[in-house]
Amino acid sequence: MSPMKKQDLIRNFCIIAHIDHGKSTLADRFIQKAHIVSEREFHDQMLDNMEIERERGITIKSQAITIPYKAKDEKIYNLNLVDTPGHVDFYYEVSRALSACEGAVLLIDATQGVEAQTLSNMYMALENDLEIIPVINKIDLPGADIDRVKKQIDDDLGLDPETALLVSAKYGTGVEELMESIVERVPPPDGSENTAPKALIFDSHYDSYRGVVVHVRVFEGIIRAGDNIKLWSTDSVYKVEETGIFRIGLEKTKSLGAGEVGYLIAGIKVLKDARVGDTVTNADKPCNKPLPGFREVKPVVFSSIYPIDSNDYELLQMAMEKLQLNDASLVYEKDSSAALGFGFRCGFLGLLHLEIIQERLEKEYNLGVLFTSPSVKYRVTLRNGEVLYVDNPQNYPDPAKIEKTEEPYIRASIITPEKYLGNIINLCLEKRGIQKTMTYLDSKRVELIYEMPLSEVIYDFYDKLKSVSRGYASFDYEIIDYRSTDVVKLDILLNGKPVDALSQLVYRENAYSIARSVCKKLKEEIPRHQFKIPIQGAIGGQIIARETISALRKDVTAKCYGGDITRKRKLLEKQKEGKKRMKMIGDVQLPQSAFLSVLKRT
Amino acid sequence: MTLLDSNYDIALYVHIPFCRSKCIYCDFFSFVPPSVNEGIIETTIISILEELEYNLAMLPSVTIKTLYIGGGTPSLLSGKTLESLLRGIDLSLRRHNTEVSGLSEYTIEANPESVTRDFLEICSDHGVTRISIGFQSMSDRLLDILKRPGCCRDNFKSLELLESSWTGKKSGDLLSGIPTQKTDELIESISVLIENDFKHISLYTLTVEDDTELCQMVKNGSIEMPKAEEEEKMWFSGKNFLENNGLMNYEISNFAIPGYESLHNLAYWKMEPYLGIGPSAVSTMPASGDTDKRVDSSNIILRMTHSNDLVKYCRGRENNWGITTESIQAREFLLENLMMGLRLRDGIEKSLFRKRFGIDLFDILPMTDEFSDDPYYYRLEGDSRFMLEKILLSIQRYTEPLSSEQIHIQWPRDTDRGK
Ligand SMILES: Nc1nc2c(ncn2[C@@H]2O[C@H](COP(=O)(O)OP(=O)(O)O)[C@@H](O)[C@H]2O)c(=O)[nH]1
Ligand code: SF4
Ligand SMILES: [Mg+2]
Repeated sequence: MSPMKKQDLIRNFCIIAHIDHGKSTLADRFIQKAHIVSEREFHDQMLDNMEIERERGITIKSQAITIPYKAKDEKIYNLNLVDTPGHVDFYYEVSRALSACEGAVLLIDATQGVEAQTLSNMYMALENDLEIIPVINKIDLPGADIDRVKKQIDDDLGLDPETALLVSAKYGTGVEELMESIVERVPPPDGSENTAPKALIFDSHYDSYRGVVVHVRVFEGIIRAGDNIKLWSTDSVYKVEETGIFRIGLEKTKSLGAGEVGYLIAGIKVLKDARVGDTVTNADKPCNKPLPGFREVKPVVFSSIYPIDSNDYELLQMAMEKLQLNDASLVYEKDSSAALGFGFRCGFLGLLHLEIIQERLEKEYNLGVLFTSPSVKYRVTLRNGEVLYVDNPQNYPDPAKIEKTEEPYIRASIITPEKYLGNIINLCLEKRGIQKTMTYLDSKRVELIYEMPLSEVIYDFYDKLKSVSRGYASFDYEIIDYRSTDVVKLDILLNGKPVDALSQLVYRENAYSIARSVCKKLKEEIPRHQFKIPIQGAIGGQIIARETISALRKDVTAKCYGGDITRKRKLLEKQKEGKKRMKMIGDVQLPQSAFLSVLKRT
Repeated sequence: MTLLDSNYDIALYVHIPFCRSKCIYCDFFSFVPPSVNEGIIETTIISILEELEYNLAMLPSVTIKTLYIGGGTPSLLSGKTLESLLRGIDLSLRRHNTEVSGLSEYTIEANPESVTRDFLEICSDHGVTRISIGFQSMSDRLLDILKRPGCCRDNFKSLELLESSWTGKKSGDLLSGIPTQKTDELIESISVLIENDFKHISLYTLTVEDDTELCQMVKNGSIEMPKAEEEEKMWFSGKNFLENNGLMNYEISNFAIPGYESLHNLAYWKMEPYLGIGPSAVSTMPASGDTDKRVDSSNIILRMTHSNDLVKYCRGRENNWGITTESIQAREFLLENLMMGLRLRDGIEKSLFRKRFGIDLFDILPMTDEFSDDPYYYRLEGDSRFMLEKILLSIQRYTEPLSSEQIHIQWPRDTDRGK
């Protein structure tokens, strides 16, 4: 028997799955099996420790944990589980988390079978050369159809169904076998400890006592406390204060060596400085090239946030500062609106990211907030040669002064079973997509490459894609360049007055249909008032869509005699309560949902 | 706290909680067979008479201005039972030194299918001056949808009977906004009543009340309510038609040829004291905090709500007829006064308001030039429903900062009387 290396006892893996297929539940079982936490201390879904994640059941931030596991060979292995986020908006974070691993547990719900993210996640895992262990979950459910899922594993995923394991994450059935097969099947990490260190930042979080805690996977060399490290993309140097691994808390170690997953604390002040995907090396003895795949995460969707109650502006500012500590991808600056007062202009990774921030502001900070219509960043060249970047409709220059406007384009990759091809091509056409390639991956699945404007994707593309493909198509995109476009500023007028916070920049050809749908949605969302409210869509003063909210009559005007007075009074008193979630714009009360409905144009 | 007995006017309401069957939209309190039989009805009527007798005996100084027998369906009572009810009321009033003939208005409610010659004669004999009939619609299709107990033929039969055997005032209830109803059908129903010389018509919008069959049906999708705008258009067509025929929209849902307004209901809208008798009936009455003190020092307002449990009710005085009492705070009472008063085309009389609350209406509500020298605040005209609602919805905003200490209630006052 060859002498045992330290790395032979390490397995780095992640769990990947379509949403709700049981990733968090399985992670819980791993932790329990490993007895890191006593059963009593254990609370469900350990890894998703943000309130919103628990409510939405989506893992937003990836996290990691080291699980000691005594295998059949009587040796104790360190299984490093890297949890990954589960939504396209966080595609880049997922891909970085995967690249920190050698293996992936591909979880499939036995009652649902292979779904879109099962596919897209598997492709991502293959790109990163991970060993994939297909696992069929929820076998305890009466609707579990194991044979069908096995066939899909064969047909759709091209994996050997014989290697699939059967598990009930909920009851722990098969989890022991799964851990054993992670040890057997996932290759141990390699890489020499004797060369210049090279580590991947796959995540980071902010700790109010320790500052930024950087999550790293070391590929080569060793990182120790006292070392001077350099972050490749910024060339900035920090002194390592502590290294360690993830248990339920942070557990200090002497060092982190090649193959290990852990954390380092190095006096980094703000999260933005520890960029996901970046390479960490030794400042005094740097490696000669960085790990592949780094790209700066840039916000692509912009929207302004306003407090419903203008007095809450300072609270909002504090909340934003705190949120940014935990969320490096959130960027913001001061903004103001005639209708809504002071607020912040923010950049997001996508619409889900925006919704998450909204929920966190409401749940964690108890703030009522409004978001304006999201926009991409346009490049505007003026006739005098000046070039501006505009992401806020309020700042869109006078059309007479504009030479040309360009908008960001993406390269979208869509993988779909053949039978939804027609639907998807139509959808892409509708979204101004230009087909680049169409490749059959096998007899049933096709990969489409499209170039299309990002602005068409940020609203509802993903939802529509899911619906036209019954959830089977997977989608990924990257921004490629700026291209010429024809944009107009669409204003929305309530009661004859434009509401700046509802303006948006839209493609001229879409302006009419968007104006109509926004007016219609507002009509549904704005409660009827005591007077008629015209809602109009306009381009430069020309009205292109109109709806009217008729005045309110019901309730207060229903019959009322001596017996109803108490009840009616209470109703009246209650109506005031409802108003707290409303923003007064002139005479009109706009509920928060009205702003939200404009965000989603379906 | 005891109810205040002094020389003020009250509106007296008697609730008869029985119906032939339950209409899908109705949240009025009524029992339907098989949970009632003649025996239960008789027992209830006896309890009602006992309660009335007791109350009138305890309030010797008050003056009964109007009497309203509502339901439920009072016309459902058998001739014999109706006879004993009306005679009993008659006797109680007499013992209270009130002649039925001295009332300003004596109304009974009826449903078309149970209007009989007998019923009308008994009512006339006992001094009833006004009959209010729940037609709702003149279309069998719509009556079916509502599961009304009667059909269109019953409507016309009752109209013929009224023509031949009723000399008193007549009021009819109609509904707009019934699922599938067309404006023509509403106008047709109104015309029928106008042709039959109805000088008072209530035109309600069908509303979905909680805990009704209609509410369930709307929730499970088996019925679709008309769109708000359509319903509104229909209601306004009805309103215009009524007004063109001289029936003025004197209260949000009520129309009358001037002089034919419902005096009893006006008392509610003007928030004058009212005494409700019978299961589920409600009273709002002035009370005295301390029996030793001069009654005038009192500004306590009690709202008494009867339980709708017949057993509790019929245990009578030993169980206080199942009444629960709440005391209405000054601010709440003020809000209610605005809420009710602004339903009226004539709005709220400013001088009366000042007397009632010790503050000026203008100290609370914003004043606009338009209304400043109007003795009634917010006289409502034309499309004024919208304005009314604008006010209604904003009144709690204006009344909220008021503390009850700022309000000095004098209710009722001699000035509240009559008119
Ligand atoms: N019956 C059953 N339910 C499961 C199992 N695994 C997960 N679930 C349930 O499926 C839902 C989604 O699980 P979760 O772990 O949050 O999925 P994730 O979105 O992939 O993280 C939760 O309601 C779990 O309780 C299982 O093995 N059996
Ligand atoms: S008859 Fe009148 S009180 Fe009786 S159930 Fe029908 S609507 Fe209600
Ligand atoms: Mg999860």
